[in-house]
Amino acid sequence: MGKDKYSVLLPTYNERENLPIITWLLCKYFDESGHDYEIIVIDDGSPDGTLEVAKKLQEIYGDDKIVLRPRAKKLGLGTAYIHGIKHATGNFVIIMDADLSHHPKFIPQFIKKQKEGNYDLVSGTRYIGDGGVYGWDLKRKIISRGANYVTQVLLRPGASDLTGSFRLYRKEVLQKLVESCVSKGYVFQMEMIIRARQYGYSIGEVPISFVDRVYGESKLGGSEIIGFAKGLLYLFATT
Amino acid sequence: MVVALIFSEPLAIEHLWECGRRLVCKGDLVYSLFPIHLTDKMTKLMEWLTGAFLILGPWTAVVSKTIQNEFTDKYYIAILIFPVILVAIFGLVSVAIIAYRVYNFNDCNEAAEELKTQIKEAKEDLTKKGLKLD
Repeated sequence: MGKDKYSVLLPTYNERENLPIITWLLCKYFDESGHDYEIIVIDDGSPDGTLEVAKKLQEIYGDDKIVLRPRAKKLGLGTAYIHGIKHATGNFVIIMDADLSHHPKFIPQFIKKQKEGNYDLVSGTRYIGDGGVYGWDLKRKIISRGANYVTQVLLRPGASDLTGSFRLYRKEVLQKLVESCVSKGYVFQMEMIIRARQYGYSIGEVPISFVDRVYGESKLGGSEIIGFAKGLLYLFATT
Repeated sequence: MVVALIFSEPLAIEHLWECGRRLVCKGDLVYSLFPIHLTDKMTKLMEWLTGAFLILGPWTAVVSKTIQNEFTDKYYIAILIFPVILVAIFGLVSVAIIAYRVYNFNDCNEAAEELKTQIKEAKEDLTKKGLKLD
């Protein structure tokens, strides 16, 4: 296995119910695969007591496995990553959502893929091979595929899933990318992978299933689409 | 570089690869063996504008009859509507591609089932380990 260590960054906000499950799954799959790992929980002052649950998990799994790096209030994803990287002791960093839409079972595949091509980053993709989604209606699928197609045509990013946030990075690569990315929300993940291509980093892909359990109409309103279009044009004109 | 490419001298190509890689390491945007370094340094916007210019430049010359010969006279109408046809074809192909991809977007029902089972399993195990869950 070598000396590789994998730091999982879990930014949380009101994930009291999901955090124990995702932690349990992470530990299960890492223990099975035998890789060295740590889970860094970055809770942004959740009022639902996510941090208290995280502390209990730390008691169960040990503070070498569960690392708590809370922040006082919600400060955004980019800074959460920077905050997490600072405390990460692994040479690889995995970012994922804590809401169970990203399944830890794919992480051993990410690691295998990374080793195969010595990639700088491995991105989970819903759009190729066995990848897919659960819980999306036709409208959501059309918007997703349409937005992805337009982006592919305009930016030719060399990766199939641009807005996904289930990825494995070399730590220094993630550091550099986060520092050079300015966008927010969906566009942030897109900018990360576009800049990765711009800097000449190599990208591997692993098909993943994205299980959306809390899908609601509110998640994709007009303002999200406008924000996405703005971000797309920004990247179109600057990269 | 061009000489190396023309003669396909293996050693020279190897050398170019090396150069290219070193440039990549420096964060430069040159990462191709082929002489398209110009486009690699352009933004995507500039690439599109260049493409549009390369097509619309000659087109304007023909439509405004700055350039006129037997060929342009014979196919004048076709040339006139050429950009529109190009855009229309692009649009149709795009819609077809998106429709195909939406149709083939996998529904991961098994993954959802698996997750549901594992959530139950996790809750039972964590309760055993002393975590209170509601």
